[in-house]
Amino acid sequence: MATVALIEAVNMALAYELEHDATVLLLGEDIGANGGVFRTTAGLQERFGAHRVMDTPLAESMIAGLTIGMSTQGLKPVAEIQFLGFIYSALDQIITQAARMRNRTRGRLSCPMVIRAPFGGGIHAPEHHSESTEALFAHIPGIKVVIPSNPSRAYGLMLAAIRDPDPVIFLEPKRVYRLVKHEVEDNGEAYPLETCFIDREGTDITLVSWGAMMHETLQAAEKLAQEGIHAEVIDVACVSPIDMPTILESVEKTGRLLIVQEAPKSGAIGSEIAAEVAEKAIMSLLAPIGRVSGYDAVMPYYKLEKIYMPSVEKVVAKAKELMEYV
Amino acid sequence: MKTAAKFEIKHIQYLNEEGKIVAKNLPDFAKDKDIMRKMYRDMSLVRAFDAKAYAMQRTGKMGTYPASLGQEAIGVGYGSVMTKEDVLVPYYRGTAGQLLHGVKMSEILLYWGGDERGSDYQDAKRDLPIAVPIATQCLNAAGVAAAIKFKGEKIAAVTEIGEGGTSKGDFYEALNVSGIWNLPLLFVVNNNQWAISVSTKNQTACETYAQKAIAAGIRCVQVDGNDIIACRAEADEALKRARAGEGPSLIEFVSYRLCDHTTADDASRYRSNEELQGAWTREPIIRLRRYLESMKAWTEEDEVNMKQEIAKEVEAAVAEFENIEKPLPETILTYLFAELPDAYQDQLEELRQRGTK
Amino acid sequence: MKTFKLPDLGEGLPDAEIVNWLVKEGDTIEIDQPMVEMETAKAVVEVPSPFKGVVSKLHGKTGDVIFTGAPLIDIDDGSGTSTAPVTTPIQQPAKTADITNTTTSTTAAAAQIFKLPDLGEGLPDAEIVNWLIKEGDIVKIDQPMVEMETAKAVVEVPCPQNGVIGTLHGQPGDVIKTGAPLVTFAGTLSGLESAPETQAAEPTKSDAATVVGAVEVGNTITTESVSAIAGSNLKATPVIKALARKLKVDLSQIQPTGADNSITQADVRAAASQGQTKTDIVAQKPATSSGTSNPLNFKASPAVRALAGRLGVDLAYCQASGKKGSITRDDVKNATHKPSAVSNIQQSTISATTVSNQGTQSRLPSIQVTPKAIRGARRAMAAAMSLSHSCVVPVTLMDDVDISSWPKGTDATARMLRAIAYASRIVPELNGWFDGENMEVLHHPEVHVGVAVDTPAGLYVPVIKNAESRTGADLRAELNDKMERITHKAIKPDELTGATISLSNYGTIAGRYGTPVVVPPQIAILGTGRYRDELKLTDTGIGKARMLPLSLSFDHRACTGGEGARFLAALMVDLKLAK
Repeated sequence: MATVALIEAVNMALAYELEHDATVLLLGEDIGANGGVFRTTAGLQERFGAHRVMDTPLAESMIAGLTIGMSTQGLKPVAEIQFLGFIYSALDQIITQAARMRNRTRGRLSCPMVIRAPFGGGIHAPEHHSESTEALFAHIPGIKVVIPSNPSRAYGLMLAAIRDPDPVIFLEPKRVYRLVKHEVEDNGEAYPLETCFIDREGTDITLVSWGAMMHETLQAAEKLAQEGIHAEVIDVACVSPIDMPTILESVEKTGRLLIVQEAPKSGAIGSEIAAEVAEKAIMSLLAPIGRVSGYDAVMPYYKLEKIYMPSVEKVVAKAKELMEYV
Repeated sequence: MKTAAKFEIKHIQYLNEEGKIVAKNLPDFAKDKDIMRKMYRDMSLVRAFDAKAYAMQRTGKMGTYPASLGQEAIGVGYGSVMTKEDVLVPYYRGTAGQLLHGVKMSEILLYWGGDERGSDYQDAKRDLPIAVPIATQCLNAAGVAAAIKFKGEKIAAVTEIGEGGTSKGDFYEALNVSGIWNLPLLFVVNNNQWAISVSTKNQTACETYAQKAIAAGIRCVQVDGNDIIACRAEADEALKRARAGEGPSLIEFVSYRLCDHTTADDASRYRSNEELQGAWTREPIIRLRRYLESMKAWTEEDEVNMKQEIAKEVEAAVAEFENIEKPLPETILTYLFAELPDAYQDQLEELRQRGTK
Repeated sequence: MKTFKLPDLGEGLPDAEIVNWLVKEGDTIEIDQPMVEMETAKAVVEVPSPFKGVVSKLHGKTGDVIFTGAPLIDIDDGSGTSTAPVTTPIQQPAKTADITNTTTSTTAAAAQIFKLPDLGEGLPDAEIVNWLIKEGDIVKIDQPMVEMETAKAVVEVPCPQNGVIGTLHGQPGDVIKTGAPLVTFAGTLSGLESAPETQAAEPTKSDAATVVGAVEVGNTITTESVSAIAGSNLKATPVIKALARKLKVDLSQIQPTGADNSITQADVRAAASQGQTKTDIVAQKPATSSGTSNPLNFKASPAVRALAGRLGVDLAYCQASGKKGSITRDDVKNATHKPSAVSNIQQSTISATTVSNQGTQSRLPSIQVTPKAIRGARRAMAAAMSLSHSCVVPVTLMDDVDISSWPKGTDATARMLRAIAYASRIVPELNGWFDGENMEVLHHPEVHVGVAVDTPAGLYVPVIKNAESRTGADLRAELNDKMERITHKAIKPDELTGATISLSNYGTIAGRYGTPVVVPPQIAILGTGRYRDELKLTDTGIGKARMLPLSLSFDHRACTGGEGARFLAALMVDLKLAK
């Protein structure tokens, strides 16, 4: 059993698959000798060699395109895009090629690939390094989008992503890369995708979140409990496709739903969850579905970062508002 | 002052417009009548198929189709020296190369005829499907070549792109990584002078497209793309090197797009008839026929027989295309993932219901 | 003299370790001249001098960890006074001679924050009265540190350790919560006087790198929360529960094979492949509830619930005529006219089967129980009684009144109504409404008596208005009319509300004395039992008397015992009259 932070758990999972599956390889900028700018891939090139852990030239579309091509030929590449903010030139490849390769060849070719990228705010980074645009990917049929919130899930979900026969975008919430440690057994056991995790059981209100915001959400639940409000807290983890039955069952039990997301409010994962719950559990709703999210604005530079990002207080206040709705 | 680097681009031509050999060191295959006749037949088949596809589109039986009229030597050239094991990563005007690599005519009709089954190649199992976004295929081809290299296979990958596509970032990124990673990849650049309505004069400041490879440190050459001998010879050389681990090549095939960009285009809006007629005099099939005749390898009777056979083959492909049963609505979702997630099951059910009506 | 405190070297880093001083005490130093190499969680960083002057004091040696905000170096720039806002220069080393070397950790751990302890049996907070030390002071254990005022007294808090005061988390007058940071200790003393240790080569640098910004490094070790499994005394992690949900496996039936009796993913998958899936029990929640109805027991859209809220309708009153058994807007509207929802009893069937434990052969028979949902008036009664019980403080005074003088055919109920109206004039304190939450009382000038009526459908309490100003015949007529309409389910809601006092004449059936229930916000209720003829002692001997038992319940929050007794006496005065 190792006591590891989220980023180390990712490293453990990558190492496990590199060791046990000869078709797995890593590619990306600065991932080899440097071990990744966050050190996610530290030690892997030394251990597995430069032909399994490849430093690429500086071109994101190229990284995605290579990954796609390789994955159609029996390999399982795991590519790193250094920051989600740099992925946009690769969107063409992801959307026009990766997402549809299986569909357009009627299953003859497919892309068992992973593209992983650190994302999210809260590390006082320069501009472009803090956005949460997971909704862009969730909107594309044919790819899965996975966001771990803690080390155990980072390990289990990364294994699942690599083993999944279809493209997975694996977004790592960098704010919590090293915040908390878990004891994780390096046993190669994958977690299921399309599955929500219930981190706290409750009866009064359902709080739904993913990624770094899980920490704020759980803290909010703790504060609410001190005021007699017992929240159920759900980690969506796989934001596409979403395990809606778990969320629906919870809302049927509590009657209230609050979605917490770092991303901008409009056109986000939260919008999708709200629509599904309104459609499938309206009879159970005692209050409107609430959302606490980032503003519909260009993410500010870090001086105002904390203002932009949802806080524990905001979540608590909104939850209480829903509790008092009549 | 030192010179840090210089470059020169060779232009290769063996067979001129009139069907006469104008270069020394004629490759051996050019003296082989069977090989030459086969290539003539292949080019003729492509042309006949293109014509049929156009006609079908014009009569509402097929969707948009990009023909290769006047550019048949390119695909036949490299297609005739690809092995079955090599992997082809085509663009959208690659009928010739694809047919020679085992893709069926009916599959090409299905693709352009709006049916994904057209990319489920029965024979060319590893080839990537036709690519419509510009230049994305170059990066995917680099990926394929990287996989080949990673697995230690002694084969090569081939990708094709129009001269207009070479303006895109993906093309340069693919060249660059192929060069630095020494990938077993052949870049085929079909310079047919026109990118829809943009003439090559307005596409780049380079004197040749081949020299874009210099910027990536890759071996490159320019050939007369209507000269089947030059096409095949250079492709052969490039593929042999690639398979032997000697790295990538780029060949610019200088040709001319005698047809519209696609069935949805009208080229007379932007180019002169004069230019077009001039180009017809340089087209590849005529000059090969003249060469065959000079070798005493072709007669008018051969021509008539070949045309009849080809017509039958094309008809058979068309029949296969037209007789395939309609795809079921549920196939909209059944190939989305290896296993359709629970989240989409009710949409699948809805599609299934529609399929029973 | 300027004291330069270690700045935040990377957006939120808690501390840094001195790798190498590039200057020594006594050196002359220029602005921006590199003066020290510090190692943070990310990288080795060179810190330049912010001042020009002479290096006076280095606050640590190679290997020491300095907390962000703690003094790093003193430079004599000839200014004489420190510009550091809060601190003063560190006291001279001589004073450290009597401070023992501590075992304070010098690893790159979190800054040593001393949190305000519970100063006295669960006190929530305390106010800072006076600091006895200041930032930068070197302190020793048990040294008085601060005076704090609690709800009970002023208390002196001593230093919990040797060290250097880094940050004081408040000013005199600030209230600090118990458990919140009070003082952060900075730096370490061990570096100031122990012999330099041999530098052990650091085999692994904790290198929490990032190329931009700063990634916060925490050392909290947590585990995923385990939670109970229904029907089992085992617990499971979120992933096990999630997998069980996905594969529809009943965790309570699984034999765990993991360490510490934990259920593993393999256990769940094995159970799934063996077909041990949960049968979908149709979740018919039993509709009985104690008192207030749980809104989630009813299927109603938000719009319907809102309408019910506006009309004051309890969803329990409503039929559920919508698709999928939901309550529609019409159901809500109709509920106000037809409170009887007898026809809407939902049957929920629970099959309680006791199954033997593994190993025994016999099985107990299964028992079928069919609870019935209560609706309508009975449900309302249950709710009202619970409410009363929860807030009213009832007292019941009992007595008998001699009604021997009543002529034959006297309308008893009408007499009772009149008596209540009379007594309410004499003792208005029992005729009205009491609001326990806001501590308000309303003594009504009018007397509206809620008369309890027993029907097959349950208890109804129509209100006979203005008993104080109407004739007995009039009151009787109205009562008859209301009873008629109750029978035909035509009573309107406003006829059932507004009572200022109530009457329960259970004596028409049976019972002598009772403890009738006060219905808030009313203050009192009179219960009248069955009259009886009995022997009575008179001045002239033994005689006959017809006695009517009275039981007057009142809410002792709203009136005193004396008021209640006087009301009862007044009732008796009026009831004793022949007419």
